[in-house]
Amino acid sequence: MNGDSIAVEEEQSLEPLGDALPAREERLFLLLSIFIGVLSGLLVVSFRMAIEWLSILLLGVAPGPGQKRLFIIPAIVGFVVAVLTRYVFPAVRGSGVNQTKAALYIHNGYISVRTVIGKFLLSSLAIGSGQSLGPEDPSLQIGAGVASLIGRKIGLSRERLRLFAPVGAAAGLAAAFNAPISAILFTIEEVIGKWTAGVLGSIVLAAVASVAVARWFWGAQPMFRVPTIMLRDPRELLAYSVLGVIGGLASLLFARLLGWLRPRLRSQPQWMQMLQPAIAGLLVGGIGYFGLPEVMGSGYGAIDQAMHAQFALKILLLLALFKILATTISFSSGTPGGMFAPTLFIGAMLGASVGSFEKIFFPHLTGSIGSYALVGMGVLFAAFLRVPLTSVFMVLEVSGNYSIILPVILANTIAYLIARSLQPVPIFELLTHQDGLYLPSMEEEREESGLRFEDALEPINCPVIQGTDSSADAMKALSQQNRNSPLILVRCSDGWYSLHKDEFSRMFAELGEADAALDKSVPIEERLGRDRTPLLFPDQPLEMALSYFQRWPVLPVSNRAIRGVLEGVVTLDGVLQRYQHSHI
Amino acid sequence: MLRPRRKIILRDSAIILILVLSTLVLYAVTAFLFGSFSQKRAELGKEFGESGKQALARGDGVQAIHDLRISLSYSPDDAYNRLLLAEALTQEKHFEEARSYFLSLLDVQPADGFINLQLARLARQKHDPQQAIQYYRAAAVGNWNNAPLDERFQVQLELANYLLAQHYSPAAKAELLIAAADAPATTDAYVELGDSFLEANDPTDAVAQYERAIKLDPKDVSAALKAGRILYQNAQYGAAYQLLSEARRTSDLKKLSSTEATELLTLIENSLRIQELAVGQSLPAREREEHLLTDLTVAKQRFTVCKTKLGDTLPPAMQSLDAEWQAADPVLHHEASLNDETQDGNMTKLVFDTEDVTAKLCGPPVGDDALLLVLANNASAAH
Repeated sequence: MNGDSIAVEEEQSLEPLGDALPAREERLFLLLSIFIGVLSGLLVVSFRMAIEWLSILLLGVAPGPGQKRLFIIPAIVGFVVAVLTRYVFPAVRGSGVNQTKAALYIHNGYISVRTVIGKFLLSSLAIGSGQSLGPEDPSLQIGAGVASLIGRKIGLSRERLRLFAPVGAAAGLAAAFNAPISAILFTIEEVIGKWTAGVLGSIVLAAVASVAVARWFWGAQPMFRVPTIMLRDPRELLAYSVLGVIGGLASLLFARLLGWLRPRLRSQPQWMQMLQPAIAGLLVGGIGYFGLPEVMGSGYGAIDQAMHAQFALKILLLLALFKILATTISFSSGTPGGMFAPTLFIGAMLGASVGSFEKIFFPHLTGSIGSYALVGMGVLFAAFLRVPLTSVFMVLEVSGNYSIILPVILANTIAYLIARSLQPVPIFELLTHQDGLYLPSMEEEREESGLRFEDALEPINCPVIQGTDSSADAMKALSQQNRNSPLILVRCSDGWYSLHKDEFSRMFAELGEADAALDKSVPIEERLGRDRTPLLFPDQPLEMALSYFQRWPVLPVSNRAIRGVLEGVVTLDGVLQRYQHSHI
Repeated sequence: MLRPRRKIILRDSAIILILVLSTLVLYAVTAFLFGSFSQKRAELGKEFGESGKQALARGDGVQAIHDLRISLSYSPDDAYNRLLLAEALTQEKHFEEARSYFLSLLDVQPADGFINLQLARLARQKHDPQQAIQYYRAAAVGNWNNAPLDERFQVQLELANYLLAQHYSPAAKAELLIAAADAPATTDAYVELGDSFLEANDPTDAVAQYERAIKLDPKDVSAALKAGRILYQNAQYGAAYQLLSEARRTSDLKKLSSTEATELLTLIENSLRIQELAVGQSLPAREREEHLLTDLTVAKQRFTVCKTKLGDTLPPAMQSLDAEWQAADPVLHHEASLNDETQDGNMTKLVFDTEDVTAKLCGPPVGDDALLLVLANNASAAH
């Protein structure tokens, strides 16, 4: 699909609707969000079902070490996936998050039907055959694809169409995680980057609708069966801090490995790239064959076992390490599939390791291993995917347990800060750069602080006259103030008025000539009309000012606490100088 | 202006209709596939659950854990299999994992007696008495599917025994008294209770429970032996003799081991004989005098034998006794009366001192001397 065909399709859809389009879109937008949620939910349920069916069919009902099919099947399926990716579904490589962002920022919200079908089929084949990847990110893209398709068919405007992709993304992710709040936050934190009231309502509706559908099928219980969790001893927070540090470092290792291997594999000749998913399948299958089948696939079962303390410390560490390797290999090979589930897996194993270590060496601290595994999941999520807010809510939602909030916040923050300082480029941004794209980094945008009025504030050097004065008194006051400024500020009873001195003089000269008998005791604010300068405050964004300078020569900036008192003024020159200065 | 508006409304209605129909079709397809998928998962869950259960029943914990884990991966909500897995994990000494499972089960069934009991046992294993007692108490009042009365009784007994092991005797006695009030009416239950009361150093209540068992089954010679032993040890020789001789008369002694049967006969014999040697204040004067004379004869004999054994150089205690026996000769040869209360007391003391000293210097006594030593010890303990 190229840009021209998108434009043609949009024009054909929009042509007959004329001026009624915005109102119609407004009405439809929320209703369609519900449909997107329901359809995404159904597709995600089918997607997860397909993965599990394929897993049973391909790897057997009870995959275990030493089973030859663990070696053979992932390699064969990997080759099939590679062929289909190369010749039938070229846009399905990757996790789905960056592809959705690309659809939003580059392709005006366009995701083709072929991509959705390809993502569904190839991701389920890859994950079902044991590739170390997860279903959440593809679910996100499937949801976004559904939204894009509906938006196009209905003929929404380009702006609305662009907004629809994140709505579908939230719906897809919400159904995959059975966690609406996390999906909404992730979409805002990572895909859109901003809280905008216009799209928030639709995202919430779609996410809730998709979760309702998912729960209709899978049940209302949380994604993981978390054992009873309680923070009994405040000293345990130290252990959770250690977990934060370990999580931060592990995410660094994971990101560095991905950053190193992926471009090297992508730079190989085409025939070699075709073999990479098969080789990845062979290697990941080998890990399973030689003793760690838990590493294969999404690994939800192993996460559950880790939460119930069913692995020894050594096995937990091995699982975390080999999952990092297996996911790096699977993802770098171009096999379609996500990184959310592997991230949760690694986090759970590391968390359970810290918990097991504590049990062995500090048995008097009574925290359960399950609670560490749960916090570990959030830690890796925060550090590796760089979504600190989502990570906290994700832990709460997937566990349905709010008593763990304090350790989660502490450990996630530590891990996030470590990952940020040691790996300044977030993983999604790193991957887009490797693909030659430059999508906006939401993390950077969050950190950016725009200029505000207070940054361009100037002292009041122009004369200030009272709007209640008569024209004669005003002229007298002006001459008494004797300032050099060419501008005048008028304090009216209902706001401020700004104008040039020349304009002021001309206005009263004209008045005098037109009607000499005019009562000179009439207050000047009545003569200035009802128009007033906008009410502005120092903390508001400076970019707002630019649109006002066409009408007003100077803008008074008011104090929020004391009505009528000015903090200063801003002028066009001052604003421009401030912007030029800020970019030096 | 009207025509485009109508066109938009018609078009939007058509779109919504198509969306509704698409949703319904997709829902139908998903529901059909999901139904078949769920059925297959349920079948696999059941199949592995059954094999896990069988493995657990034959004591193959490792296989049971393997099968039950697979079963739960297909049917994660199967509480019964989760319970079995937790049991298998406990059996294989994977205590921490078992605890996690039981805790997750407790979340769903907080009043389940079995789960609370298992958690109590795991807390014991973890040396956490506070948690253990808490879970035991919850189990004692919890829900039990089969024979709740028996199960609760057993939990209370286990709790009482645990409290005893933790040296919380008053709390243990309190639990035993509660258990006794709600105990099932079986001899086994009463005997168990009696044993526990005895362990809690409460012989009175122990005998009461054994007597309940005997009342329920007069041929329960085992309960009679236990009760008789306590009565004998508590110097209630008449009651012991009556209970034990009655048991001997009505019961089949073959139900006892040979050691127990010998003990029973010895206890009967001793409890009868010791009554003939006892010089309690409640005895009539004549009878008491006869008993004391017998005791003096037995003790004198013991003293003489011991003195000969020790040779010429007697220890001071023996020398002192020798002097007392010489002074007691008139009484022994019926040349002086025993009616005098002071004389009576002195003679009794001489008998007891003789048995005590000779036991220390010449080895443990046998026969009547042994019984006199028991009486001496009882008197000493009473003072």
